[in-house]
Amino acid sequence: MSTTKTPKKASSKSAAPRKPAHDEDIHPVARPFLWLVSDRVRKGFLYFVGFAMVLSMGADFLIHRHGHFHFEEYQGFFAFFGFAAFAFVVLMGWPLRRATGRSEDYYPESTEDD
Amino acid sequence: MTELLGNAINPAWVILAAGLLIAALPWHHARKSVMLLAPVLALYFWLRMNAFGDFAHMDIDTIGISLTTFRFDGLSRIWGLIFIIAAFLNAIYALHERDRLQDSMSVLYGGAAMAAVFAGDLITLFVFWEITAFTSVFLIWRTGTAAARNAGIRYLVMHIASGVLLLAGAVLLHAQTGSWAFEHIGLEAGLAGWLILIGFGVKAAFPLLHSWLQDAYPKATITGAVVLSAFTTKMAIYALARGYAGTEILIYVGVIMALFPVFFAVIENDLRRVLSFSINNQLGFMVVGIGVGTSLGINGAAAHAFADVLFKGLLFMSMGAVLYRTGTTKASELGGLFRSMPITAFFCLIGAGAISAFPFLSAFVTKALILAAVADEGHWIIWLALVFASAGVLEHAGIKIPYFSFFAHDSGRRVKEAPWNMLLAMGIAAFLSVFIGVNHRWLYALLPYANNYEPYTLGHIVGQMQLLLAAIFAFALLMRLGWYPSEKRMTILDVDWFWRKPGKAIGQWAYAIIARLWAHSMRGLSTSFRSISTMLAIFLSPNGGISRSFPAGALAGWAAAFLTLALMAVYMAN
Amino acid sequence: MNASFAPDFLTWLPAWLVMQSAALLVVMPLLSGPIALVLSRGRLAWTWAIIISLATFAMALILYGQVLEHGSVEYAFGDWAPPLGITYNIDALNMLILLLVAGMGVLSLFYGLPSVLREIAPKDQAAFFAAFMLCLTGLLGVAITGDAFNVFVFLEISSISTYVLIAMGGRQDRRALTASFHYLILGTIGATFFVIGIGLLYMATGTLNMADITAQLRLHGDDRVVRAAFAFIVIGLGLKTAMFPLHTWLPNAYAYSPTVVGAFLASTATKVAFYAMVRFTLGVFLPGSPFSDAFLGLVLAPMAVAAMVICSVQALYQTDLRKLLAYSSVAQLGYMLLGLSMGTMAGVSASLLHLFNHALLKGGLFMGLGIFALSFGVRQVQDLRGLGKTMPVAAAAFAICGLSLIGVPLTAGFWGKYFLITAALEKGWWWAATAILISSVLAIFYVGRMLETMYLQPAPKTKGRSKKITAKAPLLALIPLVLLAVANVWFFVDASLPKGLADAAANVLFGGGAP
Repeated sequence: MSTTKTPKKASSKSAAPRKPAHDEDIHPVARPFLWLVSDRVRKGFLYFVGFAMVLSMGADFLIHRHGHFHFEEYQGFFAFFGFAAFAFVVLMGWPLRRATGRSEDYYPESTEDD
Repeated sequence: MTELLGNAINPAWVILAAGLLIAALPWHHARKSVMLLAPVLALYFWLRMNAFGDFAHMDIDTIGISLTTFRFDGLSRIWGLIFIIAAFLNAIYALHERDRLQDSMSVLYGGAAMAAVFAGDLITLFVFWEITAFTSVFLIWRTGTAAARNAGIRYLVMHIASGVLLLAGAVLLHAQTGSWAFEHIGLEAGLAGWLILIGFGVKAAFPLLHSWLQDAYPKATITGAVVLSAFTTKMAIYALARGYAGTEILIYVGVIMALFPVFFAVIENDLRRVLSFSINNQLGFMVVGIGVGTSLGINGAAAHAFADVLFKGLLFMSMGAVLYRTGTTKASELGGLFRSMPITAFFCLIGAGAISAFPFLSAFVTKALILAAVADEGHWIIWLALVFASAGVLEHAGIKIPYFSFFAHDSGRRVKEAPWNMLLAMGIAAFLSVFIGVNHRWLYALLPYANNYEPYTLGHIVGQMQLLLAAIFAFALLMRLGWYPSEKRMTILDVDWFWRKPGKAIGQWAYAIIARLWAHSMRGLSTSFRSISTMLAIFLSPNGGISRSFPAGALAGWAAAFLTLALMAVYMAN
Repeated sequence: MNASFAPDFLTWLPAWLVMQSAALLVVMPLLSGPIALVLSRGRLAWTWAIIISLATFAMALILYGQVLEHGSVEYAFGDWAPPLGITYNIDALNMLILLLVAGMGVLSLFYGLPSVLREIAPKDQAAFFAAFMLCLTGLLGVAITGDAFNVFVFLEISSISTYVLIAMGGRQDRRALTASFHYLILGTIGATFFVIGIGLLYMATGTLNMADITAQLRLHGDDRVVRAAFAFIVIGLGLKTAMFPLHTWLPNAYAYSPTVVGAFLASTATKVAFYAMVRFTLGVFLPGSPFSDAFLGLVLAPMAVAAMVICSVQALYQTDLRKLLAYSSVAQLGYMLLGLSMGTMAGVSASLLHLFNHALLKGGLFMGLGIFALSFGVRQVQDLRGLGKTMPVAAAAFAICGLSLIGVPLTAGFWGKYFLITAALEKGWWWAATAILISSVLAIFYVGRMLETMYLQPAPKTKGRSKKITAKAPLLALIPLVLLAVANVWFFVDASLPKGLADAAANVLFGGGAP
């Protein structure tokens, strides 16, 4: 999913052994679950989770959550807060990486790592 | 020397003795049997304890102090149990490994951590505190790379320093109170209190003192990282809970600990390093609970430490299995592994769910205690920050770990499923994570204080589900939009940069400057103060002055002169 | 001392053996020397020396049992009553030294065979062991005797044999001859001073028996003769102890002598001389007399501090490993002299404890160097590169002894420094405590430099032979080294033996009066 934009060293490296999804080596236990990564499920996941989220927010109108703080009891508080927090954490990754990211052999010793 | 009261046997001795035995056993199967049996025997002794108290004393005649080597009370009981369980799981997980050094060191390390938890005085605590450092470092060095060697040395330096701080504080404290007992210390104790707090803080990976963790754990061996994740930091949390309950500054320290790793974990590529950040973040929750210091807060810290050993161990085990089979834990190299390691993937998902506090999994019933303790005291900003951090936990531990290794784009790697012993260890840890989530009364009964908090209210479940679902939705949306920072191979800087780069450079620069200044001043002195410079040369240079052979006559004269000096001193005396 | 530790093995032994153990302790090695010479073959002489040294050590243990039981043992030669005949007096103070010397004698001999076979010419090997046994005799004799002139005689026996032993290093390094010559000059001066002092003391008191001298001095009071005797004796012994600044003979003597000799001397010779110094300043001369206080406070304490700091710096600048350790030895002797100069029970006890620990650890360090030298020709600090990998066991034992030298907790060296610091603070000598800390920090650096080279620097690449040689640490030499390393850890965990003896010794000197 994330690979669409950035062609990476990693993917070019592992391109050779890549095989079609239904190859012989797939573990028998995993076979019944392969549908989980089908394109339809992948695309539908967003809507599925979104729907579940809306449901959980709707539950707030049926029950009254008792919280320690009054702001906590607003309908859908946790959903809004959770979404904002998550998005903030992820998006801060961009500037943070620009600030602290260095090439893998930045510390001389780590070149021997692999 | 050791006096046993009431037939109580310290379970830690069993593990330590097993560690020594393993060090001497050349046979693989014998070693593994001992590794498995020792925790079982320790558990038996733990179960036999039916009263609280100080059970074993040791007198050190040399300095006339009496040590309490086995204190069994509400706090040490639960830590003792989780360490025993961890030792057992580690033994199963390492069954396939043929390495006497790691076998013995990991067992000794676990035993030392246990003995530290049961220590009733600061000297005993210090001794085992240091032993954990000396034994655990081999789990890092054993990887064998230069990077691991250097990281191990950095690790060792910080941990020895931690012990030295502890000892210095203990000596000061003894000077003030006349007692070595390890009871509540607090910052009221002044400098002693601060020294010990910082000593504990190094092992608990307080912010700015934390870099050894993310530095060393990802470079440890496969089994080593699993073992390391269980003991050191949790032992430090125990020590903080014992000595610094209710110390307000810990609330703020804990919040920072819970927050900052969340941001770093997003961009980190090495998944074992992500888990190391995650340790830091979970410790933050516990430290906040200790800082609040109410019985609910301490209960929360203890319960969360218990749950954390299991689910963090589980996550490290699953990443270890991935590393074992594929040779890497770099997110950019992995993906789609559930096709070949479905069982590992399943257990990993349980661990991820447990750490993210999904209802009916362990963190849901333990983290709630800490949040409730914070809210009870009215710290609403802290509370919000912890909820924020919980969303971050879901990001790096709940989603990133399983997603980038087992799902995401298929890396095309087709490997074998993890060995049966790894699966068994993961299975037990996963089972226990579920067990605690469902039977929270069982865990609550083990906590230091009576606990009648009820996690399973409809409101709590709904609120938590809102948080989790909204966060997952955010993840799916950001992925779809392509706004998620894609996984890249890179080094992420941390505070250890300060001593690994400028610190090192300053050191080298200072050395060069001092060497030059030295040479210069020696030259300068020799021109202006020839005599003084000669004297300095006598003292300092290896080939000149005193170090060179004197002529025999000078020696005799010198001796005579010194005799005269002595005679003068003797005659002058009144 | 704790009576419950008194071993009951004494009751198992024949009575005559227990009775005569004090005499046998000295007579056996004394007589064994000439026999070793007659045996004329290296290995044979070595076997003989080992047997005798083990027997000697057994005698020391028997004596230890007696001392534990009775507090002190007195043995009169030929049943002549004390003031007239020669008597041996054994109390906790010399017991500590006797155990140490006898024990190190055994360990050094076991350790020594491979290096002696390598370093000493075959025709000289028997002579070497003969000289070694004589040296052992002298050192034991100094420690055991209760007769002042006897101290001189034994001191000379040990010194002369030491000159020979050092000179035998000449085959390896010609500088050993100069080193031996310089030691001979200074040693002779020291002996002369000492014997002059004894003579003056005899003039003043009319007796040579140490206990009797004390009794006479108590009646007689002090005068110029007694004071001069004191000065001559302490300076004479100071030379033998390598008291700063009279230590100049020591570094070269240790550095160029055969490796066994270095290990043995470093752990025993200066210690015995130091014992004699303690015995004379606090046991024979009355402790607390104005002149001894003046000497201890005004001369000894500053010199001790100077030794601790200056010689540690010199050690820091050395590149030759054995010289580095030798300078460190002078610095460590400074610690002991400092404890003595405090003139308090706590100070003397601490300095004796440090003496014991230092003997164990310095012996171990020299043995380690010897093994490295034997396998790889290691002489310089930089030669240690990569030894942590190539000789893991020897390197680990060496490292433990090194850590003990710093005084790291979990090693025996810690206790000596700990008690010295507490003793200094008890007396209010904060500057002495500071000096101990400074010197310890310097030790961190000079030991750290060796350990760093050993463990963190890669082994030099020598045409593929480094791997092969790994296993070649001779087992016979390795075992004593490992034993010493274990002892260095053991005596941290349970320091009751040296600490008990040191306390009892200090008690003899201050509490119970002279023996």
